[in-house]
Amino acid sequence: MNQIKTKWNKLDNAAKLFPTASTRAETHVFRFSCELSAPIDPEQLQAALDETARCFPTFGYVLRRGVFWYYLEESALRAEVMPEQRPLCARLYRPRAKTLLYAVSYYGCTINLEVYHVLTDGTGATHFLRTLVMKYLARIYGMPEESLGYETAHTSMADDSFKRYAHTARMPHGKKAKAHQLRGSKLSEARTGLIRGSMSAGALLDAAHAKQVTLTAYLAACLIAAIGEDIPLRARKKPVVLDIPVNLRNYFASDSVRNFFTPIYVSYDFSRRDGSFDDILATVTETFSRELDRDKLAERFCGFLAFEENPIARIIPLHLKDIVMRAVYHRSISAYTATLSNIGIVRMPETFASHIRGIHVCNATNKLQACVCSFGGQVSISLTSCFTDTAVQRRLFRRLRELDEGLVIETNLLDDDA
Amino acid sequence: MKYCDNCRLAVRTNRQTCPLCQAQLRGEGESAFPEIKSVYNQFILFFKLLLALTIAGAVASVAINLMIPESGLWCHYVLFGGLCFWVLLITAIRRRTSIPRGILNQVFWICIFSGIWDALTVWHGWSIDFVIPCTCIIAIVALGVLGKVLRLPTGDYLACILVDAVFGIVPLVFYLTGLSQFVYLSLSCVAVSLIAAAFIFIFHGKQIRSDLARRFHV
Repeated sequence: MNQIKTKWNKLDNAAKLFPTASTRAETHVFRFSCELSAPIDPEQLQAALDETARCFPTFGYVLRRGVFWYYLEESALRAEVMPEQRPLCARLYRPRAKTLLYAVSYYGCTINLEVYHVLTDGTGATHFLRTLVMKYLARIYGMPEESLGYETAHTSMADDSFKRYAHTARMPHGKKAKAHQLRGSKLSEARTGLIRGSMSAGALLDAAHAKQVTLTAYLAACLIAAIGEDIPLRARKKPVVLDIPVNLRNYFASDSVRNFFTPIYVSYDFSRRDGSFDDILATVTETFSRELDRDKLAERFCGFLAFEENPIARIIPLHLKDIVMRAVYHRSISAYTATLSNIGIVRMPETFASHIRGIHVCNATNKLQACVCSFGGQVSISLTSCFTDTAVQRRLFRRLRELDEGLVIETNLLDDDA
Repeated sequence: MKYCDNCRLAVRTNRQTCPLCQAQLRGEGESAFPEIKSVYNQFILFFKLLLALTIAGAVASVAINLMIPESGLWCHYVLFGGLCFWVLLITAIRRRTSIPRGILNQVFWICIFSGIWDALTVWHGWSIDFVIPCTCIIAIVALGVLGKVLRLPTGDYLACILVDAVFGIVPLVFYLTGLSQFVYLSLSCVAVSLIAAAFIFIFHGKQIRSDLARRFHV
C-alpha cells in the first residue's frame, strides 16, 4: 500500500467513451456466466478467484477521474464472491467511488462474471472466466490445471493494441445517417431483461452453410428480419442498422486483455428493398465482405484515435469533455438500431469441459443487444433489452426454432415484467 | 422444464407465462436466475419527507413573516438556512464513498456559508476570525489522523491535506489586509497549513509528484 509508485494506465481508445456515457440505465457492463453440473461452493470459488485475480493484474484496477482524462489505477481491493443478488448487469462503476470494475457472483450451479467494459472486452473476460472456472474445477475435483492457450505475460496483457497498430489518426468524415430506433415502455428500475436461447451449433451452422454464409452473418440477417417485421409501414423511412463489434485480434496480432475491438455497421433499408430473408442475407454478406478488411478496420479505429490525440481535445478539462463526449456518444448510438456481438467458440480443456453445462454471455443495453457464444456444440444466443415488449425476441427465437426443435429458452424476466 | 404450446418452445423458468408470447406454460419449472428484489430507492421516502418539510417550512415562514411585518425581515434566514442544510447534506451524500474528499468538501462549504452568514447578520468578522481558521486546522489534523488510523491509501488523503493546506493559507490574506481582528487563530491556521504542506513534500514528495502526474496526464 505504501509503495511510492502506484501503477496506472490510460484508458484505451475504446474505453474512453464508456465512463462518460455510462448511466444507471446503460451500464456498459457485460456478463459471462458458466453453468456447471453441480452447485457452486462459494469458499472454493473465492479461493479460485483470488488466484485468478493474481494472474490478471489489470482486473484489479479502479477507475479514477483525472483533470483531463479518466485513468485506471492499481488498487488493493479484493474481489469477493457474492450470491447473485443484484440486477443483471447492474452498474459497477459509480462516479467518485473506488470500486473494482468486475464482480463474481453465483446462483445454483452458475458462476457469473460481470465486467465493466472499460476494463476489457469479450476476449479478456473470456480468458478470465476460463481461468476462474478451471481453477475452481481443479480445486473441487482435484484435477491438475492445464494451459488455456493465451499469453500470460503481464505486459502483453496490458498492451494498448489500438496504439500499437494505429498508422494515422485522422478524424472520420461524413455524417452518419440515423437508424430506426426501437421504442416502447421500459422495464422498471432500468433493469435489463434477458431472454436467451440455447440450441445446437450444428443445426445453426448447417443452415448458415446451406446459404454459404458465416454464422454471424446468418444471425445478423435473422435479427434484422425479426426487427424489420416489427416496424410500422410509415416508420420504414430509416434503415435498420446492426452494430457488430469486430474482435481486432483476428486481424492484428495482439495478446492484450484490454479492449481491442471496433464496430462495423450493417444496414438494411426496408423501404427500398423487398425485405425477404435472402435479400437481407445478401446485403449482410456483401457488407461483411466489404467491411471486414484489415485496412478498412484500421482506418476505422484510427478515426476514433484522432479525437484522443487531438491537442485541443486533450487539454479540455474532464468536466467539459464529459459533456462533449456524452453528446458524441448519443449521436453515435443513434446510428444503429441494435447490437450483435459474437464471441465465438469458448474452449475449455476436455477434462474440464465435461463438468460444464453451458457458457453464456450478455450485455447491458439501452436498446436491444444479441450476444452469442458457443460451447460444447451448443450456441447460446442472449437477447438483452430494456423494453418490456419482446416481439423481436419472439420472432427471432421462433425462426431459430425451425432449425432446431430442441431450442430452450431461459429468462430473467418475471411474470409481472413481461 | 416448461413448454409453450404457442411458440412450440421449451422454456426453463418459474414463470406462469411464456416470456415471448405470454401464453400459459405447462410443465414443471426451474429457473437459471434468482428473483432479484427491488433495490430501488430504499431511502427515497426519507428524502421526500425531508424535502417536503423544508419546502413547507420555507413557505410558512415567508407567509408568517409577511403577516407580521412589524417583527422585521427574518424569513430570508430561514430560506438560506434550508439551502445550507441541503447543500451540506447533498455533498455529504455524494462524497460518502471517500472520507477525505468528503471532509474537504465540507470544509469548503462551511467556510463559504459562514462568511455569507456573517455578512447577512451584521458583519462581526467571526467567520474569518474563528470559523474558517478553526475549520481548516481541524480538517488538516483530522485528515492526518484518519489517514493513519484507517490506513487510507496515501494518494487519496495526502492530496486532500494539500488542498486543505491551500485553503488554510487564505487567512493570511485576511491578516495582511487587516480584515481579521483576532489574529492568533488566523496565523496558527497559516502556520499549520505550511507545516503540513512541508511535511508532505518532504516525506511523500515522490508520491505526490507521481499522483499529480496521473491526475494531470493529457
